[in-house]
Amino acid sequence: MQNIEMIRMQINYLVTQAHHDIYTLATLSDTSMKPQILQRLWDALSTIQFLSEWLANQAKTSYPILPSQSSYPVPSGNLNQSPIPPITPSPTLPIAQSNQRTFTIGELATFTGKNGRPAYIAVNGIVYDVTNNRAWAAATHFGLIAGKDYTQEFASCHAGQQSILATLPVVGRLV
Amino acid sequence: MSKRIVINPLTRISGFMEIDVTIDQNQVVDAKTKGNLFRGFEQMLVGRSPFDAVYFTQRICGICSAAHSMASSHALEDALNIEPMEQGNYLRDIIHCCEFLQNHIRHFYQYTVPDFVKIEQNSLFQTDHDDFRLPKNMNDRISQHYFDSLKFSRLAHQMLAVLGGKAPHNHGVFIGGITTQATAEKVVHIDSILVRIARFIDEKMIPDVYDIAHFYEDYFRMGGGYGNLLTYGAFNHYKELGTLYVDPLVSTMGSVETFDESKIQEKIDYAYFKSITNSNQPNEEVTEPDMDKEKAYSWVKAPRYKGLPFEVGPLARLILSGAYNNGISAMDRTIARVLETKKITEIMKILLQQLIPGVNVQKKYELPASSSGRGLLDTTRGALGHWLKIRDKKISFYQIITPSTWDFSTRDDQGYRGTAEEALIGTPIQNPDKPAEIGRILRSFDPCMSCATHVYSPGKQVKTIKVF
Amino acid sequence: MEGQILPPESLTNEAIAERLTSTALESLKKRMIKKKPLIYLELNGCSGNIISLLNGQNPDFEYMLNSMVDLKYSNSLMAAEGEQAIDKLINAMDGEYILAVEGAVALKNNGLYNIIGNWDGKPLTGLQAAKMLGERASHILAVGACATHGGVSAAKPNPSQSVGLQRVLPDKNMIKLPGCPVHPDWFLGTLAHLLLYGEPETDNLDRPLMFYSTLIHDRCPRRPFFDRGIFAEKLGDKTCLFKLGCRGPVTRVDCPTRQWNGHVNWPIGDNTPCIGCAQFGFPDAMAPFISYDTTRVVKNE
Repeated sequence: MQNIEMIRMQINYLVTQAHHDIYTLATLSDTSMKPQILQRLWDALSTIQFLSEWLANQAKTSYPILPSQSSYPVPSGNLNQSPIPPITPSPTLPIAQSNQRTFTIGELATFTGKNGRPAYIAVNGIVYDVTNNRAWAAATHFGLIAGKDYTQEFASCHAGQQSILATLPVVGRLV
Repeated sequence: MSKRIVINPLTRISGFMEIDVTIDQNQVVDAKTKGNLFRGFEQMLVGRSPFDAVYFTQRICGICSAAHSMASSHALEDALNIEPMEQGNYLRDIIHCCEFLQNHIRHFYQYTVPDFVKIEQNSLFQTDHDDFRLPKNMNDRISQHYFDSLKFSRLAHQMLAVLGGKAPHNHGVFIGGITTQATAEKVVHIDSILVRIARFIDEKMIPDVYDIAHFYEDYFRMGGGYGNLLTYGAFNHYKELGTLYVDPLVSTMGSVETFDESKIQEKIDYAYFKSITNSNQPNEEVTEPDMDKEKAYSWVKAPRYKGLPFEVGPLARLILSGAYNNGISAMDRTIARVLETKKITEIMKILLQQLIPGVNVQKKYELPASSSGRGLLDTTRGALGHWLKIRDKKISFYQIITPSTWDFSTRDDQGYRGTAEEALIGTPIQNPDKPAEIGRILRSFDPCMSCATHVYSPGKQVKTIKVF
Repeated sequence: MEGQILPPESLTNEAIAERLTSTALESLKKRMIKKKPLIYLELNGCSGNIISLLNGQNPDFEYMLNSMVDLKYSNSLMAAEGEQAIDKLINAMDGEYILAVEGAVALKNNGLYNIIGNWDGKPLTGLQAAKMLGERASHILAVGACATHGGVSAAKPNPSQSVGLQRVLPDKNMIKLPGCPVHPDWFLGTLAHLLLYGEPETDNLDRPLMFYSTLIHDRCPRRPFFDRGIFAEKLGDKTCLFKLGCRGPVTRVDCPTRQWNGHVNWPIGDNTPCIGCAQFGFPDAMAPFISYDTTRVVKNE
C-alpha cells in the first residue's frame, strides 16, 4: 500500500502549502501577488479533490495493486507536478503477475498502442506501460511513438527526473 | 516618359505583397504583383496524417482559416469516399457563413474604408495621399462605423466558435460535417447574434458603401480587367434546398457555361518553378522551385481555365448568380462584397432553420492505404481548391490553389497577364508621387497573400531584387 | 477593485484580463500611466494573431488604440502604404517603444523569404526588422506559436528555415505568448500588466504565469472521464478525448476556464482533442492531432 502512503504524503504537503498561502494572503501588502497565490490555492484544492476521489475509488473497487509499484521508489520531490499514477481500467489490463517478462526490441515494437494493443516503451532496459499515461495521448509523446527504446531521449529531456519512471507500471525487461 | 512605381508593403491586406507598375503619361501601362513571403505548406504536409490536414491547412491564413478547413475536409471526404449527412453539411456551411461575415465586415471597414474615408481618431490612419472627398458629417459617420463594426466582426467569430470551438483556426469543421451537435441553446445563441449583424449590415454597411461609391464614381470605370468570371459554386448541391447561392459556373466574354474542373491548368512560365512542361493539371506532382529561371518574377503560379485568366470572388459570384449586373470595376467589386454580406445572412438563416437538434454526424474513420481526392468550393475570396493524395495512410501529395492565386497570378506564355495585373492597365494616376488608385484597385480584390504565396515550394537563391 | 479578493475560478473567464485592463485604464485617466508606443510587427506567419486581437472584448481594439498604446505600425491595419509606411516604422524607433512580433523569423537566404517592405529602395527582410527593432525595444512580446518557437512556419521540413524570435535576439528578455493563435486576453492582459506593474511574473520559459500556469488536463471538465478510463472513440463524443490524441495533459494554458470568442466555447467543448497549440513544439511535437487507431471502447466503467 505504498501508493496510498504516497498520496497521503502529498495531501499533507498540499494542505501545508495551502495553510501557508492563506497566511500569506492575510498579511499581504503587495496585491499584485494575489492572483498567483489564489491560483496556487485553487490548484492545490483541485489536486486534493482529485486525490481524494482516487482514494475513494480505491476503497470502493479494491483495485488490484500492481506488482511493479512496490518495487520502485516513491517520488520525493516535484510534488506539485501531481505524479498520480494513471488509473487504468482494470478489465483491459494486459499485464499479468510478473514484471520479469522479457522483450526483444522487435517484440517491443509491436506494442504501439494501436488497434487495441497496449503502448509500451523502454528506458534503461526496463519496459514500461504508457497506454493510459496522460502524457502519451494516442500513444504519442512530443513526436515520439510507442513501441521503442527511449533511453537517450529520456536522458536528454528528463535528466534528474527519475521520479517520472517510478509512476509508470513496469511490464518487463528489454533484452 | 515612363516612370516606375513600387509599393511595398501594400498594407491592409493579409500577408505581404509588392506591386510594381510602370506608368506612361500618367496611365498604367504595365503591372506586376509579387508575393513576399514563403512557408512551403505543400512540402510540410507530405508525410503527415491525412486527418491532420484539416487543422494544419487552416494555419495558412489567419483571416480565412475556416475556408481551408472546408476545402480540406471536402478533399478528405472525396479520398475516403464519405458522403456527409445533410445535417453535417448544414452545420459546416453555417460555420463557413460566419467566416464570410467576419471576413467581409473586416475587409470593408478595416481594410477598404481607410482608402476613402479620412479617419482622424488616431495617427494609425494617417495616409500618404489626400484624395478624400466625403462631406465631413458623412466622413465622421463612417469613421465611427470603422470602430462600431469591430463588435459585429467579433460577434461573427463568436457565432463561429459556438459551433467550431474557437476562431481563428476552428476545430469544428471536419470530415462528415462538424464535431458538435445542434442544440436549441446554440441555435438561438447564433440566431440572436445573426439578427444584430443583419441589422448592422442593412442600416450601416450598405448605406456606407453606396455613399462612398457616390463620391468616388470614377472607380466604376477603373480596375475592370479581362472580365472573365469563375466560381466553383457556393452554398449549392443541397439535397432538399437545391442551390441557395450559385452553381459552378464560368463566364467568358459574357457567355456563361458550366464549370468543368478538368479545364484547370497551372502555368509556371513566369513563376519560380521548373518542370518538363510549363503547364500542369492541379493533381499532378508539384513542380521544382527554380529562382534562376529567365523572366520569372513571382512565387505565385498562374492558374488558367481553358487557357484564360479568371476573376474569382464576391463580384464573380453575384454576377454569375444573376443578382448583380452593374458592371465589373474596383467599385463594383467593393459593393458586391457588401451586398454578398447581406446575402450570406439570408442563407445562414435558411440553414439554421434546417437544423435538427442532437444529431451526431461524426464516425470513426479509417484511412485507405492509398487514395486521392479534391475539394473545390467557393470561399470568401473566391474559388479554393485542395488536391491531395494518400499513400501508406500518409499524405504523399498536397496542392492548394487559392482564390488569390487566381486573382494575383503571374502572366503566361500566351501573353495574358494575371487578373489583378490586367485590372490596373490603363488606370489614370492623378499624382504619381502619391498614387492612391493602385492600392484601392488591388484591395478591391481582397488580396490574401498569406494564402497565395504560403503554399508554394520555395527556391534556392533570390538572384535579383528589382528596385528603382 | 482595491482590496477585493477575486475568487480564482468562477470569474476567471473575463477576470484577469478585464481587471488588469480596467485598472490600467483608470490609472491612465488619472494620468498615472502614459500611453506607450507599440510597434506591431507581422513576420513569417498567417497574420492570425492580429485577427484574434481584433476579437478582443474587454478591452476591445478601440479601447487599446485610444487608451493603452500608440500603435505606430501594423501592416494589417495602418492606412499608410509603401515607403511611407516603412518610414513610420523607422521613425518610431527614435523613441521608447514596446515591440510585439507575430510570425516566425525566416532565416533562409538571409531572410529574403520574408520581405516586409522597401526601405531606401532596398528590400527590408523580417530578419533585419526583428533584429533592428528588437535591440532597441523597451519590452518585447513574442505573440503566437510562430514567434515564440517557430510554430507552423517552422514545421518539418521547415522550407523557409523559420525560427522563433528569441533565436535572432538571444540576449534580449522577452515575454512569450504561445498559442495558435494567441487568445486576445493573453496578449491584452499581458500588455495591461506591462503598463500597470511592469513585466508580469513568468515561468522559466518566459510565459506569464497568470495565463500559462496550469495544465489544461488539471482543469478539464472531462477529467473525471479520464480518471475513470472512459474514452471517446470518435470526435463528437462527450467523454475524454485522450485516446484520440488530446494534448491537454501536456499543455499549460487556461483555455478550460477562459474559453474563446467571448468565452463561449473551446476545442474540447467542441468535442475535439486539444492539439497543444499553446505548447512549445506545436505543431510537430503535438502531431498526430487526431488518431482513431488507439481508441478502445470501454463498456464497463
